[in-house]
Amino acid sequence: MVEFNEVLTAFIPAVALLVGVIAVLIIDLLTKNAAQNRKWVVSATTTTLFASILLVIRSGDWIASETAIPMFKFGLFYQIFAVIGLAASILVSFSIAYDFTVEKDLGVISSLLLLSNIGGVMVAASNNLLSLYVGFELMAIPIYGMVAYRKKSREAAEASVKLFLLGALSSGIIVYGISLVYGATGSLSYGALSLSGADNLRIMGIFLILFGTSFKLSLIPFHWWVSDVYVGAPVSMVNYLAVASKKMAFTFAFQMFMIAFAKDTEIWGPMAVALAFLSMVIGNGLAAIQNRVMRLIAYSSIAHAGYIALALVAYAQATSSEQQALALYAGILHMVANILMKGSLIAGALVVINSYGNDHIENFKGVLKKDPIVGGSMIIALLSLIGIPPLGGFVSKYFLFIAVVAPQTAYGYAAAAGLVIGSAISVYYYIRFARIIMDEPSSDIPIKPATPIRVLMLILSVLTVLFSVVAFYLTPSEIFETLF
Amino acid sequence: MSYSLKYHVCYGICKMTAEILNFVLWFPIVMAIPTYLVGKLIKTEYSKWFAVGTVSITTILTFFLWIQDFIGTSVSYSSNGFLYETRFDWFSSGSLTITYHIGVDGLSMPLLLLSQVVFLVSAFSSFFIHDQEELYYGLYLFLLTGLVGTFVALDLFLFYIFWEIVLVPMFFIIAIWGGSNKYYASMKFFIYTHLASLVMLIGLILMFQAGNNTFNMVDLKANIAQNVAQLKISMSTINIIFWLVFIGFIVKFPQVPFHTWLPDAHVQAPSPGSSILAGLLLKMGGYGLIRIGFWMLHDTGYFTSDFGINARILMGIVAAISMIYPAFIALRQIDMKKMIAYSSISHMGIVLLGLAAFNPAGLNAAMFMMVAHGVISPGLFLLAGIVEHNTKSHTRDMDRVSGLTEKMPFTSALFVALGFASAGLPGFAGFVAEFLGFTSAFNSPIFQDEYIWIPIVAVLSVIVTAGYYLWAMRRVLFNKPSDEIGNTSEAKWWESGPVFVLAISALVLGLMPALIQRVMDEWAKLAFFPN
Repeated sequence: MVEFNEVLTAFIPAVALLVGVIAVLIIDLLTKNAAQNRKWVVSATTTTLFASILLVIRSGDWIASETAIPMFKFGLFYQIFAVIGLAASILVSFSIAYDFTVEKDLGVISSLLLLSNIGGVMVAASNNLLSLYVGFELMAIPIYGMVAYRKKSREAAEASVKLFLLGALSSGIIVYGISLVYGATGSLSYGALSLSGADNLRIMGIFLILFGTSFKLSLIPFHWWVSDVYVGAPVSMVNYLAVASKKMAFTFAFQMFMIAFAKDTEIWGPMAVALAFLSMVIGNGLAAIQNRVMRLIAYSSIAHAGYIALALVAYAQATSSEQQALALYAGILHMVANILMKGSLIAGALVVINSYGNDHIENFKGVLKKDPIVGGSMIIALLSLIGIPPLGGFVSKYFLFIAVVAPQTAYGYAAAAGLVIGSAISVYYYIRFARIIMDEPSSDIPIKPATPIRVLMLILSVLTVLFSVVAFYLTPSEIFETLF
Repeated sequence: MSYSLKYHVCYGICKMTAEILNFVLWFPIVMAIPTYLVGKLIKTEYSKWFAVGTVSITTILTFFLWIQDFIGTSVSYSSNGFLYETRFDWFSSGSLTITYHIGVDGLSMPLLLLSQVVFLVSAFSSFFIHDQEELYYGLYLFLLTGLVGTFVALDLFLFYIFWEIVLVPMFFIIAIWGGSNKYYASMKFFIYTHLASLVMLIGLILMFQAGNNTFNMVDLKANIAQNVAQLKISMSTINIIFWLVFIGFIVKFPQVPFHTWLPDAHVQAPSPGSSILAGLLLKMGGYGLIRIGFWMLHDTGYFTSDFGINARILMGIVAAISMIYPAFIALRQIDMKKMIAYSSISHMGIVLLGLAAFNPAGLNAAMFMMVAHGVISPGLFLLAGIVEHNTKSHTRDMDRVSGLTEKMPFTSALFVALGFASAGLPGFAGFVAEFLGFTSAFNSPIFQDEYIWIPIVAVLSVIVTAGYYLWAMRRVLFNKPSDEIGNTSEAKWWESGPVFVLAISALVLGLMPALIQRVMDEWAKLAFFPN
């Protein structure tokens, strides 16, 4: 029997988030003035997220054993992915403050954000398909509410319904897959799954899980919901979908395929290559013809989901534990780099869209002249998305490339070709966007970013630049040994 | 001279040559931020003096390095074949090693010197820029570090980083301070060169795999040669690597059919930007091809194998076409800058021709052409800039500007000198390179019999070159003064001074080519033809 104390210690970050949820709701009740509400709610949300990041890092020393609690494992894997999800949510919390200017109170949406993060922490900590799935749903369900939070907006409601229907459908597919796997193996814990052999039921289950997960990751051909949802949803919610919850979904996918079904790489491996390849090539190709920034970001994030999925590809092809380590490390690097550059880009888009009222690309003319910090940060983010060294995007893409090429298999080379073709296509639309930002202003509508957003963008840019230095000082194999 | 300097004059400083090279590399990028901030916060004018000061310091230090070791009769390299090396592991795990390794040799040192000189003169010629001056000079220093880094990096990964860094400030310089069609030109420049870089990157990564998972150029060179000798890697793999990096570099060169970005970029860039583009960015392609295409693969015996001979013949054909075809295009240009841009493509053909010939004279021609073209064409671009800034409607059209001799005699004299230098008049640097290039091509065993037309076509291109320069001079300098230059007076000191320095350099290098050619010759023999 597990002591209550032990559970509390292990789950202390989630408990902190829960306390934050309640605190935010109470603050929301106590503050009458909209400006005060905004200030206090956002500070409380951010503080809670920061606190839980610290607790995730520190609680590693407090717990007696990583696997003391059934269904969960609090190791380095948990720490890394929980911190990634929480840190990305901090960006969202800032952009919420700037995005929802008409609404009087932000308590509900901020508490939903924190609730969703509890799910993210659970996904990272799971050691069992049941807890993994429950955590994932806990992460996903608040998002439907958050996207529809702007009550008067038809687009937001439409986006939310689309997201809800497809989310429910894909969850159903995943659950059905899990039930088939359970039928085949009689267990849901990772350890038992890796022991049992392959039969048709299990293979079917894995396929269903892969397809359901691909919906969540927005890999082509399961991507149709993305562009509509991104265009309709409030920009700060796009920030959450593309930057934070996408990373939690990848945590889910890594848990599923790199750990639970690590032995079945020959079943899901080839399929992952196809998904990643299509996402990178078609995603970038479709992004190249967009004239609305949110659509551009939507397709570019599909392409970037394809890049991160290369970590799965590389993992499936890997022949030694060192190559597996490199695959996971590359995946983590690209997730972090993606948070930095996408976060900065969407924050900049938010500033401009708020001033102009729509996201047409012509509105971004002259942003650099109007506000050097916002424009400059967006340009750095775009250059990083292209993969210009020594910015973050280059380093992570480079590691992904090395990771898929290292096993020297045909699938690996195909995926690497997809990476290069995709990057080559992406140069066009990113640099076009950067060029428009540098252009002479076409109108004198001022853009008025709040200071926190500017500071945030500045920090993100600096981190994007410094990313490579950090990436090269960590060694993948050491991290990997403690991960599994 | 060298001895006394080394042991009696400068004591300890002379031992710090590796530190000086590191300083020359990183000082500009470190100064980029103060340069920007001082202009933004205190006074705009300060940033230009910051930039000039920074480049002056690095130029003096580079000259110091040059005088110390490269001016004597022979250079004593370390066992690796380099001087002023710094080397440590940057990232290392079982499956990949990235080193921080920089150093110079007879190939890179002349280009390092050239880049300092071109940057210094371009800094003075940039004084006409008043729009966002602080950003311009910040980017300018950023660009210098990228360029110097490309020339001194001895690790493929580091090389690629610097190679790509160069793109970014250049893109901004064209897109912000460029001419009327700057957005089109800057995007074309970026897309062309970045796509080529991706092709090159695949080649570099294949190289990395072929050479036991390291990025260090010196180690890779030895490992690849060893693996080929032990038959672990086939010659066809080396062939694929060569073609990938060749395509990567040929776009930067640029040679037909990848040349179309260059006229657009040159014409739209501000004149100091064009002078850096022509003087240095093109040289990156040439340097990369010699260093990575030739130097690193030479030990495998690739260039004397069947694959290599075919590659060289094809290079010769590309070179001959690139010399004659852009020369004819230049003949019909009205825009002065466009004419010089096409002449650049034509001249860079000599570099490729010399490499295709692959004998000592050919390599000398290739390396010398890079330096000669690197002092002549920036001068011509700056002259085009002077004409543009001093005409009434700011035009460079040769059919609207005429009679320049009457209003701007000194500038006109410089125009004549550099025009003849570019056309290959004996006594100027261009002639030495062209002469070496043609002799090497005629002497090369592969350009005989059915391929004899390659050097012949190349030589014929010189006639066209002389034709368009003479025609340009007649139109611009010697007719009756047109309305455009109605109340123009002589160019300011910071306009004509830089061009004067470059013209003198072209003359000195033409009269005393041994000043830099000696180390090149020594290096070529050391690296490629030890017997």
